[in-house]
Amino acid sequence: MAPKHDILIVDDEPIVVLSAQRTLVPAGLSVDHAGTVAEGLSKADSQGFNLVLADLMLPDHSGFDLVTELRRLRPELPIVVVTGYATLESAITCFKTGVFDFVAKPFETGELLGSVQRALRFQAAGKTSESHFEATDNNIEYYGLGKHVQVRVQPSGLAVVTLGVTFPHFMGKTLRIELPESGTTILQGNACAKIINREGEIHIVRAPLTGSVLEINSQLPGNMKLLDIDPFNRGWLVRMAPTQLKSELQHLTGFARC
Amino acid sequence: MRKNIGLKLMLAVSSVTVATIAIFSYIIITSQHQALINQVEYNADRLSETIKGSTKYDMLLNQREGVHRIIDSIGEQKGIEKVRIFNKEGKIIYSSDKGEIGQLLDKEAESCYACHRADEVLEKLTITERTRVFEPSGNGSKSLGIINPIYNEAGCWQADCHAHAKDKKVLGVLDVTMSLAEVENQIAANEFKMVLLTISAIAATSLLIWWLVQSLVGKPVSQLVQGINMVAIGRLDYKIGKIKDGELAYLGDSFNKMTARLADAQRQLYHSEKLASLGRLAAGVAHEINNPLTGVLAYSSFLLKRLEGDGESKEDLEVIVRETKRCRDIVKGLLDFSRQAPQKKHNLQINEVILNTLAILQNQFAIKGIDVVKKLSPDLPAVYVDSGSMQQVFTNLLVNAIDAIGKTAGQIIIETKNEGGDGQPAVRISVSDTGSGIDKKHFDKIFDPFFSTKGQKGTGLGLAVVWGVIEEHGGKIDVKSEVGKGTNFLISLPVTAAAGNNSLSDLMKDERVGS
Ligand SMILES: Nc1ncnc2c1ncn2[C@@H]1O[C@H](COP(=O)(O)OP(=O)(O)O)[C@@H](O)[C@H]1O
Ligand SMILES: [Mg+2]
Repeated sequence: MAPKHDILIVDDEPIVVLSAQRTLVPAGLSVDHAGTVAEGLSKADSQGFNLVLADLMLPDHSGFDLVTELRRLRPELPIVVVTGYATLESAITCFKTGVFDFVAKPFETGELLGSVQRALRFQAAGKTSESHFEATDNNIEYYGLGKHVQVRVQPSGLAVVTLGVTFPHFMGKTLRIELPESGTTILQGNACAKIINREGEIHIVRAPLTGSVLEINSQLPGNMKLLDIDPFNRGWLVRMAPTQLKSELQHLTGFARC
Repeated sequence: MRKNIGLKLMLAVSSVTVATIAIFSYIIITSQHQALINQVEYNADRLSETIKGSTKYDMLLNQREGVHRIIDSIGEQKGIEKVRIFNKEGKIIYSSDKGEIGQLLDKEAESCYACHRADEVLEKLTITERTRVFEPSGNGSKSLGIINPIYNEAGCWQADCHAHAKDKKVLGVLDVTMSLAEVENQIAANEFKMVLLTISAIAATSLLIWWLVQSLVGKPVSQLVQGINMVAIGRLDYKIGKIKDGELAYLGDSFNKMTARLADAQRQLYHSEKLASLGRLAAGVAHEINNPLTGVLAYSSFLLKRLEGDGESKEDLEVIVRETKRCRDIVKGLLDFSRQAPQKKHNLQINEVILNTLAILQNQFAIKGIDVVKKLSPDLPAVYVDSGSMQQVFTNLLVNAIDAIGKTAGQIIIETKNEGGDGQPAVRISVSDTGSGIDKKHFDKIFDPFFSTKGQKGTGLGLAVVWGVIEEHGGKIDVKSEVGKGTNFLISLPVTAAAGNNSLSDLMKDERVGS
């Protein structure tokens, strides 16, 4: 069935709903909204949507309940969590349930657009023909914050961060990339790279781990194509020294390639 | 209270002094008294012998006038009260006191008693037995009398007067009485001297005690009291001046150490409370502010897009968007800081954590041309720490050191030491660099969240996190720095009774790290 609306926003703050509409409607997307978990679930179940934007702080239930229930009801429906920095940690844990991405409030229009458009493109591509699968305990090759970002932890304790499978080919025409300076500390879930495309979409790559940035891929700004053609090797983003490895690994999923 | 100590001491010492001097005086004065009496006694005896000798001739010739003359002239001498001779029946025959002559003495009279004791006449008497001290009625001072028996001898019963029969042993008694007034005066003078001595001794010792109490106890105690009062009103920076020596000096030192530690603890507490309340505040504010900020940011950036052509409005809107983003970054920064990873503590060798951190940063050192010197003590006790947090501490310190050294080559020294002293065993870690150093006026602020001198590049959270972690582990951190020379961070971690010993590599295996 053809959906009546493209996007369902579940948020109890009118200004947030209005802001999302102001951002998405001009991009040609139709938007419906729900103020509670119950309303959101019934709308998502009865009407077809292409994407759900979900807040994590809702009046009747926690947004986490909404997300897990949605995943159960409509596993093919991509979810983008929209949440404040105060609940960043819950947002990180949501990746394990299979949400596509999260957008931190307050967001710029480009940030919301970036996540939404990438999700829709990924969805439209008929998705997972990819060669990655969740690993068992002994064949883990890398960890991922869902399919959003990947990190390889070397025996020395050093970690190399690359894009997850939801980025390459789905970012539109990339224009530039912003990377952190080496020496700075980045926290798990905070932005570790921003990729901006010609349409003004901002694709934020979240840091998979907390630690100091030791090195950034200096080739990237001059050669953005690497992100599409060799994202997991030459298109690496940052090399970092994780400091909370043990406790943070529990939010990540182990993956292997075939 | 101090006055009481001094007063009590003075009283105690004074009474001991009085008692001692009194006993001494009593012994001295009695023996002096005895010696003086003995002297008088001896003199009186000599005198009575002299009288006996000089009257002997006149007696033999029965020239009574001669005897009278001698007795009179001797009796007039100073100190001699009376000289008299009485016969066996007790009749006074000669006396310097003319009125007495012819009187009969009772045998119970003091001058007779010695010989007629127990109704029995004793013919041979010692000098002490012959002496008596008595108080003549009417007269205030005492007198000493000595009797000297005049024995019968050949010349007496052969003399022409035939006054004495041959069978008599004792013919009469010469009695010399001498005044003891002189002796008494002398004793009284001595007693007076003794009292004077006692008073001055008490005065002198009291003065000495007062001075001692004042300088040895009084001044130090008042210094201590002053210090305690200062601490009571919250002046923890107050230091007690040098106390010369003894236990009070030790007390003073301990007091200073105690206030220093108290000040330290207070500073740490203040800082950690500041951090904790900052975190709570941040979370609350962030939650309230996120939604309205979303509106401002979304609408202004949307408007910005729509006004592409309108140069002036665009510029204004850009300011709004930029400043809104700044608000967002401030809130985000606050929240980043209050985000705390759960900790898992193990007994670890801190050297392993350090080596691990150094290995990770190896490339950075090489690129910047920094020489890293490791002085890690091989026999450190294990510390109970969260390895991740500790690694973050060393990473933050080392990254700051790298930043401080900048582009020119420099040196970082990382040192660990076992510090058993001061009771509480601890492991001491020192990270020093030859970098730019820290301005004195920044010392108070460097551990504050968001304090950074690095502009856009700095988050100002590195040292705040370091502080938080060290605090969480019950440790301490100090900084010494000199602008242009370098900086030294000193960490001290307490060593708690270690149960077992996990090595970091075991932990890493635990984590099933993929390659
Ligand atoms: N080793 C050092 N040498 C000189 N200055 C230092 C050093 N470590 C810290 N600082 C000063 O303390 C400030 C705060 O440090 P930090 O909390 O790590 O934040 P940041 O590194 O992001 O500025 C720094 O900006 C710097 O001025
Ligand atoms: Mg720093």
